[in-house]
Amino acid sequence: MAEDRISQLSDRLIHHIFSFLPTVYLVRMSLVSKRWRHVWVSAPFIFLEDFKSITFEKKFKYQYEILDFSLKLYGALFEMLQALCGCSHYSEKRQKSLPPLPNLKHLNVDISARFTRNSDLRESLHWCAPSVETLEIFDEPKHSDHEEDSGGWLQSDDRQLGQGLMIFLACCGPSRTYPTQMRHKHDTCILDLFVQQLLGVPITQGYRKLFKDHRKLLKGHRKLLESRRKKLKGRRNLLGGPTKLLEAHRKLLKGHKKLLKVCRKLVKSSRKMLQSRRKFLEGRTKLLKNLKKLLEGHRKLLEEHRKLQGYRKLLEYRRKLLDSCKKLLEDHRKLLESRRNLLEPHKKLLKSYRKLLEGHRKLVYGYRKLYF
Amino acid sequence: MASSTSGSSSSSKVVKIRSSDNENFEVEEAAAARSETIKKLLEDVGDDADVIPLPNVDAKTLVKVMEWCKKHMDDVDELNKEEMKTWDAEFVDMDQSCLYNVLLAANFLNIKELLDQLTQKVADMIKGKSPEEIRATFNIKNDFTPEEEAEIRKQNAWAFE
Repeated sequence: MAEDRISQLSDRLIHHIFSFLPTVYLVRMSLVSKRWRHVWVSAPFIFLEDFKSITFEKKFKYQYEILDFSLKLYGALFEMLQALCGCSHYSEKRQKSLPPLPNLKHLNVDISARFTRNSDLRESLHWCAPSVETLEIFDEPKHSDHEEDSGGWLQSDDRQLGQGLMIFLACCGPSRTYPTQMRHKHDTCILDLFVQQLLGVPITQGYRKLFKDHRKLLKGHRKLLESRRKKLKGRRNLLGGPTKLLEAHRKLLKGHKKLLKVCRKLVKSSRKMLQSRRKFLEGRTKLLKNLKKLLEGHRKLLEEHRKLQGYRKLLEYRRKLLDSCKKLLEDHRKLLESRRNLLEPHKKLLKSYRKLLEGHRKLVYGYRKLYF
Repeated sequence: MASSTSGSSSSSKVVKIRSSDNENFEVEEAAAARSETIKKLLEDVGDDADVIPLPNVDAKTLVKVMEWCKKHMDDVDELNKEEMKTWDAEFVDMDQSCLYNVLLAANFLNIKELLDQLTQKVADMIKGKSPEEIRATFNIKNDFTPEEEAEIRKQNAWAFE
């Protein structure tokens, strides 16, 4: 509940709400907050109906403060409008300031008494509400109620002046329609005259012609619109085929796009593959080089092996040599044994010789003793 | 294409609409056509209409708006006018947040009559109140300085008595 949502509404919606309110309340709203200060000024209508309900003293007092009554009646009316918008001195500020009702499009002026002549309205209107497109001026029937209501401030002296103030600007907001009884044709001639004076145009005849022309134009427009609608439908039907084609094309395009994506992925992956293959190949070439080196080494080894085979032959020869040597050694051993065998009889011989010698020596020794 | 198959709608003429919180509603076409926005959409799209998304309107508000639309589906004759008036008055009598939601929805959906009723309701809430009372009613914060306020009062004194 604490949220202020009404201030968040768009100006258009606020104007819509305002269209149901007498202007007094719009002016009161301007004191509520800054958001509301100027919203009502840009409203495309103004609704001063409630002026009837303000008692004369008040009305007179404030209007006298604000308005310059020396101005003629309709000038005063727009002076009042301007005062509502915050400029108090119409004639002074008019050259400098902006129009008070820049967006006012439709202006209904309701005259409850006879108009008095005034040519300022045209001028005032041009300045106060430059975007007014339709101006409706109509008379209010003189009900006895109204007489009583307004009687309080419509004194006989004021009648001439007051008549002007009895002119109401009726609201033409988005939805409001003015009560039809207000548009009765009371004093139409005078009204026509009034408008003629106001705008410098003989109004009734001109308007009637205008209305007729407008009606004809409208009929023509309607026919045109219908034929255009038919044409449009035909075009839409015609367009049906191409749109289907377009859709099919779009689908094709989508498919192509997907294909492209897939192709891109493929290309990427194949690039990766290629790179890895290159690496692989490089690895292989390195391997091959290493293998070559290995082969060379092997060849060298083989040569060495071949050389080694020569050694083997040599070794075999040597073995054979060794075998023959062994045989020789055995023969030698045998020889040695046979020699040993030979040596023993020799040793025996030698022993016997030694014994012989000793015997000889003893003999010698005995002989020497014999001689000496 | 999935939409080409859904071309044949049933005889009761039901329109599917979807609220901002993704709730689907089925409404009679005559009721939904009270909204100029939906009507135009239907005219533009034709019979191929699938679900109409309403991204600005939540389910709760949409229920309210459709309740109004169903009630106002047919033209009212003189006899029912009074009854309708009381119904409308009861319908419009809701809490403020709900009122703004429905107001914004009616604006978005372009339901002129409903919008008029709701704005009239807000206008009635403003009518007859002083600025202070208006602030209190709508929770509006007063951001004028006392001097500014006095100045505005002075400018348009006739309106504040």
